[in-house]
Amino acid sequence: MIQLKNVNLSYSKHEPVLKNIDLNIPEGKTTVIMGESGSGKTSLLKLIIGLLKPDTGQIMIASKDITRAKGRTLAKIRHSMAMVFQNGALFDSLKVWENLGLPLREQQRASIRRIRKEAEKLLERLGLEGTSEMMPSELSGGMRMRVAIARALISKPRILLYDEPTSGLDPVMSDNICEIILDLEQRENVTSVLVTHQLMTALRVGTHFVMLHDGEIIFQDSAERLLESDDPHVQEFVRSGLEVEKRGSALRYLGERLAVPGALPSGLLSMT
Amino acid sequence: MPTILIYSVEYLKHFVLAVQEFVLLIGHALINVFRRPGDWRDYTDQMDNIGPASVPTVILTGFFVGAILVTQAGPELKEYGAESLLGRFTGISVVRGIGPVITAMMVASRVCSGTAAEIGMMQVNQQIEALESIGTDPIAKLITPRIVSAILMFPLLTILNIAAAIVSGGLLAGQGNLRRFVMRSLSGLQPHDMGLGLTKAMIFGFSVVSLACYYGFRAEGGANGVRAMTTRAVVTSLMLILALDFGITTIIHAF
Repeated sequence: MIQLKNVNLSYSKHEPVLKNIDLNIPEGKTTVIMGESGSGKTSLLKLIIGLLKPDTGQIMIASKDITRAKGRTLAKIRHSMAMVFQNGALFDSLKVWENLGLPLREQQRASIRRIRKEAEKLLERLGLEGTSEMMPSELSGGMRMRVAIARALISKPRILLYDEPTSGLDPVMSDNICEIILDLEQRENVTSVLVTHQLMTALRVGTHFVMLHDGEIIFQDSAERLLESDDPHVQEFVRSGLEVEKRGSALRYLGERLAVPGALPSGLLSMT
Repeated sequence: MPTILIYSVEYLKHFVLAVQEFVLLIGHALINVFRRPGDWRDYTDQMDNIGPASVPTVILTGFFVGAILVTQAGPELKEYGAESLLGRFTGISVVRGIGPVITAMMVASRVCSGTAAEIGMMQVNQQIEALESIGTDPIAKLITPRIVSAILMFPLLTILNIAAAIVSGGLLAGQGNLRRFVMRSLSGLQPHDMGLGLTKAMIFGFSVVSLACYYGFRAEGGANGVRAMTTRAVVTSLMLILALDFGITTIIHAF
C-alpha cells in the first residue's frame, strides 16, 4: 500500500533527518511509528502525504510514485489520504461543521446542505453531538482531536495518518481515541499510520511496529518481537514506556491484543 | 576577513534570499489571479475585512487630515490674501499625496498586523499544512484573495478618505459655504491627479498585503515567532508606503 525505498531527508546540508528509510506499510492495518522526540517520526508522515520531498529515494502510494508529484497530480493522490495533525490543526475562524466540511468544499465543491448533513452524521458517530455550531476554541483537547479525526474521515480516505493523536490527553480520552482508530481499521479497512511516543497507545492500536532512532529505522515487526527485541534503544523505549504506565494495565492491553490469555511473550514477562 | 565584512556578506545573502522567497511567493499568488477561484467566499470575506471594516478609521482620519490642512495653511494663505485658494490647495494635497498615503498607512496598520498574525498563527499551528494535506493550494486560498481584495479596496477607501478630508476642510474653512469650498477643491484637479492617487492606492494595497502574507508565511516557533513577524510586517509596510510614494512621485515628475 505505502512503500518507502531508501528515502533520505535533510532540512540542511549537515542535518539529516531521515536516513536510508526502507518501509512497507501493509494495507488495512495500523502501523505505528515510534521513537523519541526528534527522531524523525512526523517528518516521515509528512513525506507520505507529500508535504515534504525526500532528497533521495522513492515513495509509492498504491503503486503510484508520488516522490516528485506536485500540483494537481499530488492533490488528486491526497484525496485518498487524510492526516490528523498534532493538536488537531482546526481552523479557529470556522465553526466545527465548517471545519469538517472543508475537505468536501475544497475537493468536491459540495453544497452547504450536503456538508452539514455529512458533518452531523460524523459528529454523532464520534460522540460529538451538539458541537457543530461551536468554535474550536470552545472545545476540550479530546473533543478537538475527535473533530480533527472527523474532518479527516469526511472525505472517506483509504489512508489515514495520525500525528501523536493522544499526546496531551488524559488516559480516558486517549483510550477513546484509540477505540476510534481501532474501529476504523475494523469497520472500514482503512490503512492507518500512527506516530506516537507512547508505548501504551502503540500497543493498543498497532499491528505493525516501526521504531525510529536518530532518523534510522532500528526495528520493524510485530508487538511480540518489539517486546522481545534485544536492541538497546528499543529496550530502553519499552522499559520507560512500561514505567510510565502501570504494569498491570500494560499486560491487560497486550493480553487483549494477543487474545491468548496467559500466553505473554517472554520479553515482557522478564520485565514484569 | 574582517568581522564586519563577514556580517555584511551574510546579511546581503539573507536579504537576497528573502527577496527571492518573496518574489516566488507573490508570483505564485498572482498567477492564481488568472485561474478560477476555488471558493468565491474567500474573496468576499477578505473584501469585507479590508473594505467595510476599515471605513470608520479611514473617514475619521480623513476628517482630521482636512482639518489639519486648513488649520495650518489657512492663516498662511490669508496673509497673502489668497484664502480663496485654500479649497484648491486642500483638494490637490489630499488627492495627489496625503489621501492615498494616510489611507494606506491607517489601513496597513489594521490589515497588515491582522493578516500577518492570522497567517502566522495558521503557520505555527499547522493549519497551512492541514490545507495542503487536503489538496488545497494555501497560496491560492490565503494570499491571492487578500491581494486582489487589497488592490480593489484601497482605492475605494482612498476616495472616502479624500471626500472626508475635503468635507471637513470645507466645514472648518468654508465660512458657511461648504458647496463652494468643495467646488474649489475639485476645480484645481485634473483627471490624471485622481488617476495618480488611485494608482498609488492600488500599489500601496498590493505591497502592504503582500508583505503581510509573506511575513505570516515565514512565522515559526509559536506565539513569539508570530509576534516578531507581525511587528516586522507592520514596520516594513509603513516604511514601504513612504518609500513608494516618494518613488512614484519622483517618476511622475520626471516625465
